[in-house]
Amino acid sequence: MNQRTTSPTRRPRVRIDAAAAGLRLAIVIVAVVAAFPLVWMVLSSFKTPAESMQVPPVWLPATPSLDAYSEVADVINAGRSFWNSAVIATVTTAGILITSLMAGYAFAKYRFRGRDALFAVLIATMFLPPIVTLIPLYRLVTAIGLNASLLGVIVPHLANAFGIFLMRQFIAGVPDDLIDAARVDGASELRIVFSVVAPSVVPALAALTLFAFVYHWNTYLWPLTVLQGNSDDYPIVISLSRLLSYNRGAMNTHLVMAGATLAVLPPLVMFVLLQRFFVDSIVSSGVKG
Amino acid sequence: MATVRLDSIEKAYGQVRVIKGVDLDVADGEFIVFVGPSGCGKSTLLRMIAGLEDISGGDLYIGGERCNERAPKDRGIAMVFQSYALYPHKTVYQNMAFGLKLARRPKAEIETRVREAARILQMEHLLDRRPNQLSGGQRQRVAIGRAIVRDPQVFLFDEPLSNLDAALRVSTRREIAKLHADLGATMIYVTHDQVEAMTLADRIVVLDAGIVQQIGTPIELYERPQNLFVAGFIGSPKMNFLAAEIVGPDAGGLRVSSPETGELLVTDRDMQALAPGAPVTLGIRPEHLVPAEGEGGGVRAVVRLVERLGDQTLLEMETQSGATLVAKAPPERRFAPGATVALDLAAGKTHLFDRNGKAVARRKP
Repeated sequence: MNQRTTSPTRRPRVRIDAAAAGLRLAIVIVAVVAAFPLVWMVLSSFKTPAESMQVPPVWLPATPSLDAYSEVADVINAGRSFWNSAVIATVTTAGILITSLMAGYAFAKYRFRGRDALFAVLIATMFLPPIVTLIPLYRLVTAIGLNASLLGVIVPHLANAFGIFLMRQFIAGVPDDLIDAARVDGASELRIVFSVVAPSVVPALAALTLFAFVYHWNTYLWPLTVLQGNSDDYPIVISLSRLLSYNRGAMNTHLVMAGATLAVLPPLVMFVLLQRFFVDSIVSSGVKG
Repeated sequence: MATVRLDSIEKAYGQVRVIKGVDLDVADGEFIVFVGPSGCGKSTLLRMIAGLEDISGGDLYIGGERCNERAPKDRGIAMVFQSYALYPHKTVYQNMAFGLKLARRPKAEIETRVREAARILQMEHLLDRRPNQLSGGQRQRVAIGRAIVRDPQVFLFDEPLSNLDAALRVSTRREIAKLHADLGATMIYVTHDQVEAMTLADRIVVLDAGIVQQIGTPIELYERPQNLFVAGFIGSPKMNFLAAEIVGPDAGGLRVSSPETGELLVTDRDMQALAPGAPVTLGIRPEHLVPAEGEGGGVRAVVRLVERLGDQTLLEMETQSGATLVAKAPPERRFAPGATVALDLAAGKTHLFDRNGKAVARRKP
């Protein structure tokens, strides 16, 4: 009797193990494919110009060298470009966090006429490709005199529909009693948002920080459009493109790779620091939605 | 401490009226309990006093001052929530000090008041912990502590014991009673648990569908319910109701008759209140319907369910006419489902309600 009951329970366990192993293998394959360009970029940055152009390609540089990195600094003003990128990404991210928290709180916790319709319109804007809004936004920025400046790059992106959506979903899960308790304690609405609600949605804030920072660090088309050739204000991503054309584009793959390696470092560090929150927030936003 | 006065208080969401003209005077230092079924408006009424819900009509006075438009922090109230509502990222100390910090009280004063409240609630050792490191009972004590440090004129409690287990509920209930005795504070407490209402309240306000059904001391409500709703709501197990009719006035009361009880005299009622033949509802508390010894007993019924509680036995029974009755029997007596039992009815303790559900007037002394 016992044997009969135990043998069928063992079989599925074997199946589950096989399935888990298959899944792991698939994850490893996807990870290798995803990491390949990154590894190739870093390795190429240590190669000589000849090695970087060689066919068939060489995987590892014969004598790894940092020459490409020092040459990058000669071609572009890397320090200035990094500073511009940092200003654009940091200020925009901070703005997005503040506006998303406040608007998300209003959408989640206030009852007002037209709230759901307004939210639907907001969500709809998420489906507009950025290229569609490029020209109207450019004309607006020019009209208020912010073109060819970092402010022009930053200001139109201080609020973000996705951020508001994400915050609304998370703040809806913050108990109303907690907010009422803060009101009884004498907290203003602003104080409630930043002292009571924000600490309750830290994973979502971390995810949004990561998302916004990486996006605005890497953004290319909008700064290129609005800066109108003002190369002093170019972020690093635009400056990198100058490496492509430098020396008439000949044999400078290693330079581009060195520049790109430097450019991905800040978002990469941020991702490593915040990835736990990022995964948590993606998982729980599905549950709470 | 302060008085609280509700003068024709109304609350409406659009066309839906949820609080329909509540009048109430709460004396300084009084412990008032709002009780009623789910959705009766008791929590809404409390939140209106707190300033967390707008008042649609009427006037609210706290300490003699009209407070309708005042922000919660300016009403001199403190509130304890069912879900504790502790700030999860703050320590117990910071939770208790938050209100005082916002009021820009001096640091030394905050320290003194928080430590004093912690001492009263015997939780000085918990001050550095965060809410997730506390048990349910400890969290509720912190929530009460947070209210105490504000030194409010009025304490408001919104079902504070509902999330606690049965044993903790009893001990925390006693702590709240002791706190009221020690502080002498005006307290307004919302619950759906009538044991909490009966044990804590100086007076109980029974609400149903946004209307006050009766206001009185716990014993008044139990012994002299003003209508069928209060009679059925207060008391556990609930009062038995039987359809009956007036036979006529007799010996300082009214003689009534029902198929289950036959004729009986309900004393101490206004003999002119109802004419012979008027339909009434006879209310009998389970403890006034006791299985008779031997062959006596005016009501006969078949036992359907026996619930032994240790100190007493509850019998759910069905009469020949199909009415369901619940009786309380002494624990030493044994009953089996299906057995026919004769019941002694304490006629002098019965309740009488007219066709509108209103208690029949008592005889004037």
